[in-house]
Amino acid sequence: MDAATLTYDTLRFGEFEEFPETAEPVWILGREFSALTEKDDILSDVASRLWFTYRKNFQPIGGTGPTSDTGWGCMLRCGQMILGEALVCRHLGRDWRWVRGQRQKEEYLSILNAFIDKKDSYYSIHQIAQMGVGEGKSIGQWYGPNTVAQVLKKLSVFDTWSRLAVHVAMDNTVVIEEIKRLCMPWLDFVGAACAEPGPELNGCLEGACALAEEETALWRPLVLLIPLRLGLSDINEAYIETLKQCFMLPQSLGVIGGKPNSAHYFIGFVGEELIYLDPHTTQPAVEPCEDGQVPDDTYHCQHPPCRMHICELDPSIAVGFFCRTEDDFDDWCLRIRKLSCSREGLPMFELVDSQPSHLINADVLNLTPDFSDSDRLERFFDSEDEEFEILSL
Amino acid sequence: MSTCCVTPADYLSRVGQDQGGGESLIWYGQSLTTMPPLEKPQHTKPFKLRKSFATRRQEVAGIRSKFPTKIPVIIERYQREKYLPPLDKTKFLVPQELSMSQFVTIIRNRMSLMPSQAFYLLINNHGLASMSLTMSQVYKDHKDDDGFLYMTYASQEMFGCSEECVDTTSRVT
Repeated sequence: MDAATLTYDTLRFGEFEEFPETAEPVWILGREFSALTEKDDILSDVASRLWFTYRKNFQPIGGTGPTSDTGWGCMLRCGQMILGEALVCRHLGRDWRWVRGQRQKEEYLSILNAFIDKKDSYYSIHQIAQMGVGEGKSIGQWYGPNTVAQVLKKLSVFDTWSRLAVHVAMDNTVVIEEIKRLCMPWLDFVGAACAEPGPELNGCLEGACALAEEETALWRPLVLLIPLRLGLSDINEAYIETLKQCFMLPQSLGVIGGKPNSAHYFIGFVGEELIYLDPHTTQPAVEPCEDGQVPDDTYHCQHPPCRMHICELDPSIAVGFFCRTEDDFDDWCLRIRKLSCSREGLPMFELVDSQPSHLINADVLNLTPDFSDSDRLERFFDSEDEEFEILSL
Repeated sequence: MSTCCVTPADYLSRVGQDQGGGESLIWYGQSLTTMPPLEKPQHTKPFKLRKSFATRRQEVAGIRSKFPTKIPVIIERYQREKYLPPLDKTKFLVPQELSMSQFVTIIRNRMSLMPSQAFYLLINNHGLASMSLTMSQVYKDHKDDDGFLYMTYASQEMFGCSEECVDTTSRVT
């Protein structure tokens, strides 16, 4: 054990409370546990998640930039954790367990390598920070849940190994048709081929069938991220039950968010407490060994996970789900519809079949302002020169 | 509490100078005063505090009699919003059959937001607006006693806080 780990252990390890002895169910990423009889399973499940924290002494970002993300990288690390969870579900499955010190599977090493703090890794802190420039964030600036979701969506395109379809649902609305088109792009080919059977399109169709040998050829595994704002300064309590329900869905990837100013990766709940992985520990960057193995101890949280009261949650979050197959997605839609009918909590987002027409054809909404109405509006209504702006259809 | 906070720009200017974080930081509640001056003078007080209940109710009654099919909406920026621009208008008369989704698109276009930028409309400072509802449905359920429908817009908070400053504050307190 090196000096840095020792310091970390001695300074901080004592702060972590034991997991509570409670009869209330513990939910972690769609799985239910008993805190009384399954404590070891809980800890093993938590330790099997990828834990990304602040790191120091990595290659400078962009060649001359920061060599540590302490103080600014916490939301970027949470983004890595939620996507890491998606990759684990994609390549290893939700039931895969990490065992300390064991020689690891090739898929696991490939996943870990995708996040190692090097400029070429698919989802490294370097890639995320640099891709954020396109979202208006310079290197070292803080991210919100939506910022990191948008960046991950862009980066996933280059990960041809995972072939993920990352969808970020905006305006608290999930459009089923949009997702089906994204995950089954060949649907459009088939439609076009039926309408006009040209030789080239037939070629494409054959290609699609040939790929079908692999199940994911018919459905690109979906990572659905839904950035939300569940209140202004505090979370609206009407959302709390719905938020808990998210962790109970088998498709759950958890939630990225935090307390004001510190980002956390929320993986579940027990009673009124959220269970999370905390990136706020600076560890030295890790170099992969020559034989391809990665010293991976520091990428797994081996102490009882942190907990906080659900009311402390900052209202800005992004909820994540993973649907490996079309059936998984259909099942998710069914469950969400059931939840929104149950009236137990306020729905956090809306699930609709297709895009409203005004978003397909943006011109429809060129309706502001309406001057014919303004003419009728007399100014005496307002002594402070605060006029109404009139919108018409 | 260890909720230290610096704005991203402040943080950037500090990076490289003092990673130790021993200096005083700008606290969340004061961040408004450190914002750059806005292009236009803005109302500092929310609409509700600028006018009496009686005035507001009278105003709604007047405008509803002239435009019975339009909904009087007050839309204001969240006081701590740092990323979305202010709107030049606060008061809107919106067709009652307009969907929330259409309304949001209008406001998004007005602010020239990218589709990937976070924008949320909270009704009565409380819950998110359901995008498929029409204005009249939202109005029916959420109109204020004065007859206006109040909405606040906000993007998302940003997260970042150095481990060092957490440690410092916890040691001090």
